[in-house]
Amino acid sequence: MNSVVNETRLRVRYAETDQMGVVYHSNHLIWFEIGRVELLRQMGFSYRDMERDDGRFIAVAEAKCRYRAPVRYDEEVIVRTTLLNARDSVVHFGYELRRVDDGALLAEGETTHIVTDANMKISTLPEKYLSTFRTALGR
Amino acid sequence: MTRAERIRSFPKTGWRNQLARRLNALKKHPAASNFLSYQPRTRLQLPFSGEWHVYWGGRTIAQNYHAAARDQRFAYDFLILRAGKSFRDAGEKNDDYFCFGQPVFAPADGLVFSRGDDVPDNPPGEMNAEHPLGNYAILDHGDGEFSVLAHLRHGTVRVQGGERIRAGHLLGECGNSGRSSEAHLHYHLQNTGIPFRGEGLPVFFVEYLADAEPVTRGEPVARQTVRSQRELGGQ
Repeated sequence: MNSVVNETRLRVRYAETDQMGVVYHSNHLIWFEIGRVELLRQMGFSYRDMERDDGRFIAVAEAKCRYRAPVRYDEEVIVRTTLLNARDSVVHFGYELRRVDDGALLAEGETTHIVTDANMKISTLPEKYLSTFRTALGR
Repeated sequence: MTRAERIRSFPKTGWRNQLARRLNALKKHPAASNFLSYQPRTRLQLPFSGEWHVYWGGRTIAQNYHAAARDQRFAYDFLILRAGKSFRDAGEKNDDYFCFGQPVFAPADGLVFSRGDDVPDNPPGEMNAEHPLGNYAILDHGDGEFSVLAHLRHGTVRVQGGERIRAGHLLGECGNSGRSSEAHLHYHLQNTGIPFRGEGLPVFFVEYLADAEPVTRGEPVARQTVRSQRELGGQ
């Protein structure tokens, strides 16, 4: 598949761990967001401009995460984000979380996003952004 | 050099209406750029081995028709000349072109941001406007710097999206796919990973010969013959 990919490195902070001594599960979704935003930035996509100039928003409609192995304090991890698909009103990303030291797969996930207008009604991506996504997908 | 001499001294390539292209380009103006004095962080080496000719390259329109486009403000087209020609025989087949099938290497370490490999090569003299890049590799070097290598030969792009590679890694072969009328390598650096988006960045290659003179770090310009002084082809 032709698509685009971003790798973002993070180091686990103390505040991200829980009583079991591992990263609390909700943090993975926040890390996915960091990866997704970096990928969009690399695509030249300004979310702020789209909100301000076009009045469109991209809302999370579904998020999945499969936890493969515990992540611990001070470990360095890589979030690897891929654009899986984009249509008029839907954008779909995939994620892998890996430990830097040994490349071990720690988690995998996907998110699906719906494009809305300012009233939270389903809408479509402005053409200039849609064409960027199409190019990114090699179409 | 008189104008007539300059015209006669143009290398003989298969580019159709070469003179018309050069004259047309002169009607345009270089695109505005926020990056004229930008110093890229990525140390780039020439993405090929042996002697290549800089067909378009430099900051003025006369040197580089790409300069009219914002994303390709500092782009290059490279090909191989022998005895002043880019092809043998009649130049009717891609195989007649000296650079066709030559290996293309990563100019620096990076992550393969995206790649494409399914566009057939054009017959010489024709262009594919629907897929302007043809087969390509886009490399993320970090620091918001991305290499774009385009018009690669159909079916030869060996790297996969998301692969981390080192400088000198074999990417594929020089081809004639996309908006290309004869085999050549298009190269530019830009600040996003999406073709035709974002802004072009100045390209400084390191450790190469320009017309046989060593250059530690510089911007090749049109009509120079360049050759990397680095060992290429590592995997």
